Amino acid sequence: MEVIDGFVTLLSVQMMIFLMLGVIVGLALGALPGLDATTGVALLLPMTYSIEPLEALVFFSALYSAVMFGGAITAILFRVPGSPEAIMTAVEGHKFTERGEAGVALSISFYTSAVGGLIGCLGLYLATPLLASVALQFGPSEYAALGIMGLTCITTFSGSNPLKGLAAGFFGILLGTIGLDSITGAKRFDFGFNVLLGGVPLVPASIGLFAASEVFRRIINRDPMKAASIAETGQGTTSLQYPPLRDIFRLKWTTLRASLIGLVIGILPGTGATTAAIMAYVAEMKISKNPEEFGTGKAEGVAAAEASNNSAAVGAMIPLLALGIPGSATTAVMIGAFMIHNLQPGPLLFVNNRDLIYGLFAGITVANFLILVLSFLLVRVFARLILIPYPILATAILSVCVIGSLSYGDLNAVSLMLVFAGIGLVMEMTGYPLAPVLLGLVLAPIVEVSFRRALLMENLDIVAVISRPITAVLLAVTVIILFAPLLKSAVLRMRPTDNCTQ
Amino acid sequence: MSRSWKFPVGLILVSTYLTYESFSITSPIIQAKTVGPAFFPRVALAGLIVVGALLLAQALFARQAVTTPSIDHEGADAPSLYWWDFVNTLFLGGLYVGGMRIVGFIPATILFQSVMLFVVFRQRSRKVIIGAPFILTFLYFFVFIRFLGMPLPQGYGIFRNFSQSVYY
Repeated sequence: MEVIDGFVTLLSVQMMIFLMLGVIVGLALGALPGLDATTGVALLLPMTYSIEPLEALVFFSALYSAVMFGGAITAILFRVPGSPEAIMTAVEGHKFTERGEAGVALSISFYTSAVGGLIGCLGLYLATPLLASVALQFGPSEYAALGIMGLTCITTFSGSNPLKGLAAGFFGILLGTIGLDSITGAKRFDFGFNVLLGGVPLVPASIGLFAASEVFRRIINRDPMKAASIAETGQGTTSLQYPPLRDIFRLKWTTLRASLIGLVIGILPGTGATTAAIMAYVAEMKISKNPEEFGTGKAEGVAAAEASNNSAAVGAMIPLLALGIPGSATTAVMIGAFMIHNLQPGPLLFVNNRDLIYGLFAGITVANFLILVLSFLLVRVFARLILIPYPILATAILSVCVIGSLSYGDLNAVSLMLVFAGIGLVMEMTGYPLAPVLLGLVLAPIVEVSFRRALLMENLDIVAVISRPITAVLLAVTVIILFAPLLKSAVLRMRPTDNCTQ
Repeated sequence: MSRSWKFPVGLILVSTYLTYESFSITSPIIQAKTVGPAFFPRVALAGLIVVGALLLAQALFARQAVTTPSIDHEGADAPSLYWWDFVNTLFLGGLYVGGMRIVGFIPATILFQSVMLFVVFRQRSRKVIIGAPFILTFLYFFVFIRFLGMPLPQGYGIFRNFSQSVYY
């Protein structure tokens, strides 16, 4: 019944406008290189101040899903992944364009993305309430353990050098401790700036780290001119003839497999849609009878990458809603949208705001259908978006960064945004990932306050804190997540490889 | 010479200074002294110092392993960096934010975008320098002021009068 009520809440003109806006903005952001879902949500977070919570959340969820679709457009047409999640699509899909079959790749991408998203929605309906009911048993110690588990995901954001990821994560945790201590009221690292007493504000920090720093990086490298030249040399003679549906239907098992892989990876906090796309693509290649055809423009390659990244994007909402833990960098920023409306993502949301949750689920489901329809209608328009010169885009982004920070607070917030843009620039130029900073900033206060509260409740008896059943299980899972890769590599080293023995 | 060791050294030095600073954080609640307000910052700082040391060791060992100068990250093929463009952007950004208080959001945004396009992005087409800022500012005005009702700066004096005449 609540499921139907959720769809009923969408039946208002205003809600449909925000749903459409989310989809259109998401498709545009996805199609524009350098702008991904995280940047988009960070940029548009201030919009949520003056609108209803459900409208804001539906808008951002639709935007998040639509970015996955949009990223595929430029990836296929120009081999420019509009968002990181479309990297594998760029590898496989652009080969279709080179053969003059861009329409085939785009159709595969749109249909499989929609199916992936809808399978993700199924997971959202089935898994989220289940996870949330377990989470109702959570006290401070369980929250602390959960936060610690989320923090261990820092390593998955780390790229080729885990040490740099760890450094970024510890930096984020340190940032999360700035301001008045919520238990004792002690001032911490405010250096006399009143703006820091309330802690580092998430909105200006995320806008600076992700959006403004990217513009600065391109300015320093004079990338704008290069981006413009890529756009100008884009193949203008691309065929947008779409294939018959039976050709798409042939990919049903690939789509299903990839969607499930995406869903599972999306649910795991800290993994994200890019990992899902790569893993589904590799899995499909491994089970294919003709793996050598991958990379030459194979339909299964596009289908696997696209179904999985969209499914993972929806899947990442599950830990956010059920446990309050962001499943990806985008959902970490999206927490801001909840907090602006005094909503705390997590199990209590299912008790206090059930109608909102099911409205959001319905919004995500409808968004996936809407994206499918709009993708076909707007693909020709988006194919032209890449032609917007980057200088104009960059000045537009910088102004939005300033507006976003201004609407959060005053000029201090803008200054803080610029400081974070500088930090983000230095980090990116020295190869330090940005997502762990945000993860630390979001999760550190949860871990700190919950852990200290739990210790106070148990009279500073640490054994009593960690021996609570759920806490113990969560900490054990954390240890497994941390040490599984080490164990796996140790086992692989011990096992003699076939290549060596032959 | 590679700069990869400089960042870890900076990280260690700043973290050590902040660890020293953390001893000035005092808790008014006696029981919380065991896990007081300085505990978590120190955990993060200790982590930063340890990771910084490991990164430094990694950088130093990597330099020892390098046998030919061409492998160095800062080699001759490294792309040029245009720091003046960045400095100009920061300067213009500062003027934009400061000027917005005086002239209001709309004039400041049009001016900022025009000057950015001319100075930083070296655009010379009048259509781009004048047309794009006007179109973009109109879009911001429509979305953020008219549609969302955000209280963006209105400026002083005649600028305030102008802002008020179009905002509401």
